[in-house]
Amino acid sequence: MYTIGTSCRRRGTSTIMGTLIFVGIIFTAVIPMMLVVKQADTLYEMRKHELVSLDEERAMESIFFHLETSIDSETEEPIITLVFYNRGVMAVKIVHVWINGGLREVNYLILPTSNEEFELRNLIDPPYEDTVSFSIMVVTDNGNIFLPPSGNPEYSFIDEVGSWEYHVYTIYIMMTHKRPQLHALITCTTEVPNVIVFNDNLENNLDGYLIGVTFDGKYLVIVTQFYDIELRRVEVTLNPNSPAVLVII
Amino acid sequence: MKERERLNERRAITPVISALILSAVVLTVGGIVWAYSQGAMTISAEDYAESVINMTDTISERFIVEHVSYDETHLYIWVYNYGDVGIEVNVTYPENLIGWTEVLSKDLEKIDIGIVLSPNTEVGINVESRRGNDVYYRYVVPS
Repeated sequence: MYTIGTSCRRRGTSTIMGTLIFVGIIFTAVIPMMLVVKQADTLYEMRKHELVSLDEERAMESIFFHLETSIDSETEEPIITLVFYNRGVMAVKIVHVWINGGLREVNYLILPTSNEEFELRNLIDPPYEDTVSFSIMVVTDNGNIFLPPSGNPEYSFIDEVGSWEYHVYTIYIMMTHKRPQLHALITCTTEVPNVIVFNDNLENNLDGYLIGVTFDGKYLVIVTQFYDIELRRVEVTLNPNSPAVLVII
Repeated sequence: MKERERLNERRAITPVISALILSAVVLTVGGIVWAYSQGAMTISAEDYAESVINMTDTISERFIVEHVSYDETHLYIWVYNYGDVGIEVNVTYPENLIGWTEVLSKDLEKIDIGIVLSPNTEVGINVESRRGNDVYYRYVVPS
């Protein structure tokens, strides 16, 4: 009896110590590891959500921009003005402007639903003797690339006088919100008789419509809904200095 | 009989020693297991955290081929990293370059490839990051 009782006590002490060691291992090794794993998973999930929202922001970046051209009256230097309209809900930051493959690092901030203009000079080195076509592209901070819808303007310097020329002029119709059964009629009012350049239904989306015309001049834009409700009637002028116009409905 | 009793009395010290030995064995084995498990768990946790960080960096990579130009002997590719993490990129097509080019966050880097291309040739350009993301760009050599 005495021997059995002593053996039980020995085992009891060892069991208690073993249990303490086991509990110690649980608290000092297993639980911290689980906490680290959980925290890493949480950070990963947070980053994933951040990236989803960043990608959404990138997809929501939407700017319309066109080029306005002018000439310095004293030096005959060609000048291009970038006219931006941010039609999105996020501020857009332009970081790179590419002019004929040459990079300009810029920092243009365009706030939501606002217009901003930025002038580009020193486009070509004097003397301005050649005819130069300017291909322009802008890149945003979020990696979106935008091109002007009105194509490449061409600067010519003939008989010591500089002039700009465009081959495509653009009327851009933009909707602030979705509207069903829209119709647009665009008539050139400088031609006699008036020439209809566009007469079609507009799809119900917010991307807007780019309507290209070949000649400069005055155009009457009439946008109707349900074929008889006139939403917008506006006369616009397209010329080399203003090759694109924005009509908001 | 007396001898047996005498021996039983002499065994009185043995339970103490055996208890001490058993405790020492339990403590030693337990300590070894404790140390091993702590080390193993720490290494596992660090490995897991590192793999998650790498995975986070991989999914955080954002880059584009912003511009491409060609000047009869060289193809220039501008890669813009608009993500939050720095990247290392390599052009795998049309020429598989050996070196990696580092592009920091919000930075633009030019990669130069010595190659002869015919005018109006359509070239598919593939830029791959070290973490395995890639971007494809189609370029037509100007006439």
